Amino acid sequence: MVKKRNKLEIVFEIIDILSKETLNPTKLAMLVNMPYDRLKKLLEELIEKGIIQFEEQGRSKVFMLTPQGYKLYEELKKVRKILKDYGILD
Amino acid sequence: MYLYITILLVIELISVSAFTYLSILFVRVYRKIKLDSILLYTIFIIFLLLSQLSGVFSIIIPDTRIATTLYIATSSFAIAGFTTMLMLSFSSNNLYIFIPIFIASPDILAGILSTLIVLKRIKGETRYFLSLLSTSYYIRGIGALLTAFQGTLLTLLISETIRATAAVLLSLHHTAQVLTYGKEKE
Repeated sequence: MVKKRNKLEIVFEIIDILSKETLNPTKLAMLVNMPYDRLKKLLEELIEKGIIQFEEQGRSKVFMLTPQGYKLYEELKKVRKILKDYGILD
Repeated sequence: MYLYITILLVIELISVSAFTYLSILFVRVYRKIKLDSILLYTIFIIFLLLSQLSGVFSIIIPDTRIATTLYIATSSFAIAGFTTMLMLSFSSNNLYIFIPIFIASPDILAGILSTLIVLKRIKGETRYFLSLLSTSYYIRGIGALLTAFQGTLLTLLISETIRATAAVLLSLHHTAQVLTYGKEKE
């Protein structure tokens, strides 16, 4: 049985992917493995929190981490092992 | 004995420093990400820090009575922390069965301790207000257990009402005692 990912796990995956490259939402949805409509809501939430931002490139949007997002990524990497030990992160 | 206390204190201070560092780190992460799981974990770490601090002060403070109170606070903070941590597992496994027992036992213990205080020490009208507060803790503890086993939320609501009423009466009573002190003398 496939274990359902929690919100933190999905957010961490998004941040991890965007720390390596800027992506359009379609490719991001594919890499994160979740439907676009659910991802869209999450991306909006992350934009509101100042973790990610987007740039218009022609007709599509490209998402990337903000400087605050990079800081959060570094901090999340520091606490990742602890969170894994408690089953909060996979 | 002195060597033992010194070593114990050093160990406790190391853990206090580590928990302080972790608390600051997790508060910073939570402020950026604002997710429930991080918040609960942060609360858990802070409670463990408070537990360790109580432990340190229970060693340092020479007054036996204050030291005993802090010694009890050590485990109370730890219980609160572990309960917070259990909340994270609430929907994913069967540990929720034990949560009401964790929640109920400090209440029942608070009830027993306050009853003992009423019986042993308290005089005047304070006795009635503290008895009311004591009763509310028993109802609260029983209510937590009943709710867990398909009971009614009404018990919890009643106990909270009694507790709030008793607390406000007790505090107002003591405030009135302070305020009327000079006047009585006159």
